Amino acid sequence: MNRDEQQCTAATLYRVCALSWVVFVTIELLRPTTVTRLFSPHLFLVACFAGVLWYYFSRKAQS
Amino acid sequence: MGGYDSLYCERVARHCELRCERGEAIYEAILRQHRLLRYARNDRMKDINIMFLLRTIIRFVPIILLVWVGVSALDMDGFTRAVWTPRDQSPFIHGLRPTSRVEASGNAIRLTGDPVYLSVSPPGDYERAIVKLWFRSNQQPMVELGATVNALAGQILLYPIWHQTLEHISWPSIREGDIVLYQRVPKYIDVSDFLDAPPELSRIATYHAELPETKTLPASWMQGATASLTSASLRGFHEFVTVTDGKDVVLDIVYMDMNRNPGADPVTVRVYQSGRLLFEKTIKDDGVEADTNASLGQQKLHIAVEKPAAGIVKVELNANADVYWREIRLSLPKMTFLSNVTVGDEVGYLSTPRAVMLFTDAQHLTVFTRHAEGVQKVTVGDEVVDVAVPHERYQVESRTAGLSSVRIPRGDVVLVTDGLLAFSESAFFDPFPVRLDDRTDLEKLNVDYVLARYQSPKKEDDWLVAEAAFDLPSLERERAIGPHGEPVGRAESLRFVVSAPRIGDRDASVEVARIEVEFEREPRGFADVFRILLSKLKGTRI
Repeated sequence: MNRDEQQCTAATLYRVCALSWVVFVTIELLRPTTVTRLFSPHLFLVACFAGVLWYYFSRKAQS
Repeated sequence: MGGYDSLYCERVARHCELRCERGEAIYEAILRQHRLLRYARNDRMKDINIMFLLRTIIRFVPIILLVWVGVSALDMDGFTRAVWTPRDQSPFIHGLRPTSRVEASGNAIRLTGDPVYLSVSPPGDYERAIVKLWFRSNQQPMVELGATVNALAGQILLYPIWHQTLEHISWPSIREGDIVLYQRVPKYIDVSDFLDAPPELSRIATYHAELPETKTLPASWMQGATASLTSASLRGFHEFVTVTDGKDVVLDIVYMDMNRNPGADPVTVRVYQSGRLLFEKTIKDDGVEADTNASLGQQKLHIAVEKPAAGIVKVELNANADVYWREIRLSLPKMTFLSNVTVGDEVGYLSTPRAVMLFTDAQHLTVFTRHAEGVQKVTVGDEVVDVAVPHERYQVESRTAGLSSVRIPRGDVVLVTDGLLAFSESAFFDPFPVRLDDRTDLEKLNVDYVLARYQSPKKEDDWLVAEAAFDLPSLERERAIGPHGEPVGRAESLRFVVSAPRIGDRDASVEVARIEVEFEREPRGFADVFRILLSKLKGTRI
């Protein structure tokens, strides 16, 4: 697996997840819905951390 | 190596620094390298495809969820259901409170006090809410479900959901819509027939249903001397009814502002007929807002309502506990007070307390005093009630139907009743049917007809399921209650009420297993959503 591609995907993962977490938490605060309750915004936060770790290890392996 | 000559192959091999393996011709080495390069390119392409797919999924999942949340929040079909159970909390239904009146009981919550409130935040702008309750009554004869219309004025819109008397009554019944008429002996063919020519009011009990106002006024209601109240001082808010055959309603009132509590003490007198306001007069505070315990003297108030229609007239005396009504003189013979009377003390008006005599048709009375000076023996009918401790409530149940006398030797007593009261036998009249509540004994009161707006709850497994519909614009909004009982957010929550009168007194309980709130409004199209968004951006409300 190409390190550049891995690194790029990991970066996409943590950036999109961080942004989604902010958007969903804002919705939850403004007007809670059963959907935001069902899909806890914090799942995105966990995915964001996973992305950060993946990014970090991809970079480390490349260097 | 079709197409390639051996010289070309040698040049390529030199250029690529290829080495032939043992027994391998130069062109075979090139072919091997060519194959390796192709595999590497394919692997790289595969890598790129997987990563591209992964990135696309990562980007699209939140977009799809966001669209879902958006569509769900917009609620195009105009219907949303929120469900609450003790184990599955809802973001819109904030549970039953106060916690001192509820306790956990397996898969349900047990209500042991009255009233219990349910704070609900609607998930949008809805017009109607249907509240469904899965409940079970343990020894509690009456349960009602309501919503707060005006908390300050104590205005609560209540609907019946369980009435033991109506569930167990064996009389034949006729139903017209949600109105049901029970008859001890069948006489009326339908409800309209009954409403057109009802029997005597004392033989009818009503529950959340109203009879048309009496068309023919008994002659006895117009006879006798004019009614007046000069034998007692009343304290704070009171309301009484009288009856006129078209004569003017003239009232002469003497009151005193005793300034015992801080704050302004305005007085408002309102006169109503058939729910219509005929007269209103407000007198401002006497200027003393401090708790000086001194009155500036007697204030006089003259009220005349000219040429009212023949019928029942209700007079409201609105004032706080600093105001004492010393005299009320009426130009008509009947003056009957509704439900509660606070007989005040005479401090600052008379040198000694005086005995007060009342007459009531109440079946249940609560007697108490707020002051040590009010400790005394009160006589209700032939029963003596020892009001021995201030603030302690003493319950009295009348042994017979009809009028009973109440003698208060020293005044300064509060009477809370389920009937009417007058300060003389001749001033008493009862223009209302019997009100069916949790303690009404139909046999004792010789009631032959019950008119009720009542629908029996449905049965679902071991639970009863009842529902009540509320128009949301007429209900009061308040701030939602957070998990630790603290108010949170903006004032947009509705406050529903589960009422079980005297549940604590009889050691009864009501178990609630599930609450569903269905919010309804007209369905919306994308054009409506766009219009609403536009109006919100402009800062206007639709």
